[in-house]
Amino acid sequence: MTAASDFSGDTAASLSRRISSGETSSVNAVQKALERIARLEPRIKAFIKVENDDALEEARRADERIAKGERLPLLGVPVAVKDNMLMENRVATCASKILENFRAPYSATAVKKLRAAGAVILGKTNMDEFAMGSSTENSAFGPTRNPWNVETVPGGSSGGSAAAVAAGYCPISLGSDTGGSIRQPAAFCGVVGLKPTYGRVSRFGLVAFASSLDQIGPFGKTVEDVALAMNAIGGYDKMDSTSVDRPMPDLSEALKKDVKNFVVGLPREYFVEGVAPEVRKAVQGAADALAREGARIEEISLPHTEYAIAVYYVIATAEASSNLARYDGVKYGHRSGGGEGLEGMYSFSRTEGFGPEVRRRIMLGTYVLSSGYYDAYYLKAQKVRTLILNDFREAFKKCRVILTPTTPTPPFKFGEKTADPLQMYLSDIFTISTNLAGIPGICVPGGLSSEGLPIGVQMMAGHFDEESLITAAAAYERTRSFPSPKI
Amino acid sequence: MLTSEEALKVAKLANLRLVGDEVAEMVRKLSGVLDHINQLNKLDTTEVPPTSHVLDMGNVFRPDAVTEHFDHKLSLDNAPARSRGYFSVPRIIE
Repeated sequence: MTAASDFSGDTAASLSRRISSGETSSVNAVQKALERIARLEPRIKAFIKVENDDALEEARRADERIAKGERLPLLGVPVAVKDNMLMENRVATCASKILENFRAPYSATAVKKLRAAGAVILGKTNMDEFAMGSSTENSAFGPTRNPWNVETVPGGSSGGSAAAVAAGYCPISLGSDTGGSIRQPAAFCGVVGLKPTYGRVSRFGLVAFASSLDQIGPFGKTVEDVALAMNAIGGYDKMDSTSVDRPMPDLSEALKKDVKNFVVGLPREYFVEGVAPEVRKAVQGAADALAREGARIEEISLPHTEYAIAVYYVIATAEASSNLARYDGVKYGHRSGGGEGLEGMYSFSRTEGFGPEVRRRIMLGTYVLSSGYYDAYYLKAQKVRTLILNDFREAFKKCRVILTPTTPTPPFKFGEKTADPLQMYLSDIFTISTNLAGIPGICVPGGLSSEGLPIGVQMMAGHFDEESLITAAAAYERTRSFPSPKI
Repeated sequence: MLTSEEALKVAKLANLRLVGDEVAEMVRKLSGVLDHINQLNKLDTTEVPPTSHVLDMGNVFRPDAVTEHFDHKLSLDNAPARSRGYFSVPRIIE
């Protein structure tokens, strides 16, 4: 089959128009997507589970609705969902042995809303176990490969969702971002990825990693697709007490605006040693493009940037150690046959069920919260978090959006960073602050490296200002073209 | 940084088993991360309030009324061991 005979080149917006106009059907689009998945998955491994029959059944229902005259922004469009979001009566493994046989008793709000907008869910995508990682190498079921070059990682933790879009399986997917887990794989796979403001998208039904940082967000090939998906999943949900009750703006409107009165900040702390020249060039290219569109570019300072990783690995692991205490082999998940008594059952079940990186993070989180260390580590990190948040508050008094690299380098190779956890953590150096401050961030493809691998540029905006992000990202996107991987 | 004794104590608190070579490996990898974390001590934060939540939110309340909930069967469906309609665990009281 050639690329032209399936819909791998379509965006969600164009595919939705073709389906609604009757040019094609949802069943045909989903069938073609499933054929493409069957052909390419042996190489890419973006999915943990593909739901062929359910997807086709949902597509049939979408076609019936279209026949009755119903119109919805994503009606009949195939999408993929990261395997840490619950779908009623489907597996949700979080790429962990401990949840290998877990079937969700209810659906995540973001999944329900995506379906309510008409989307057809093809299946659940691969990730680093419990979203802890930056390469999918921590998946208990094997890594996902980057569609641009199968020797390199797709990024993580939402690597499967990013690769699914890059491989042309579906135009939209959902991921989650705790320290960069949407934006970093978006950069590595050459797609658009948005981490919304903390509280913008309900976390109900998202398996918790670090509750003060986790946020669900969309991947798409274009800024427009990400805006459409965000329109679908955003908004208040009474089932999540950290979800914020304020109206969700129509981000399609933000696509049409220009950046003429925008001040774009370039923080000098993001252009330091260790940033690859090609990455600097891509960000400079984006700054020049926005300047040509009428934005004013100014150098700014975010002075506490260098402390972000240290703060993150205290707060995220502390919260993870509490959240993951629930996996004890009693109500759900793996139970070991080994160990003496209840305590033995707990520790054998947890040690057998969790992979090495998850165990390390639980250990670190337990340590920083333990008696005698709480003030020195956890309280200290919370205080420095305030300094990082204040840096952004000051910056957004001067500028509308901040433009930075997404990652210090283009995608790295398998095994390159697995020996030393700190090296892997440092690949998230430019995305972590956004989560600590709770502000939204978007990654847009910014070019290719000399080896033909994608480089992403990141934009950030103030709390609940996804509109400015979409406007700036779309304005930049219009100034350049970006290819699809040859697979 | 971290000692083997501390690692074993933390493992017990976290209900994780750490045996043989795993102890030294855990100490080595966590010590590297803790070294990095210790750079936070360069900052004087005496006057800085901690942030536990980025948005200005208070407690969220709802009426104490029964709403949607799981039935008995659904609650037990994922249990690795159950008996007569209850979760089953190894004997706790002799």
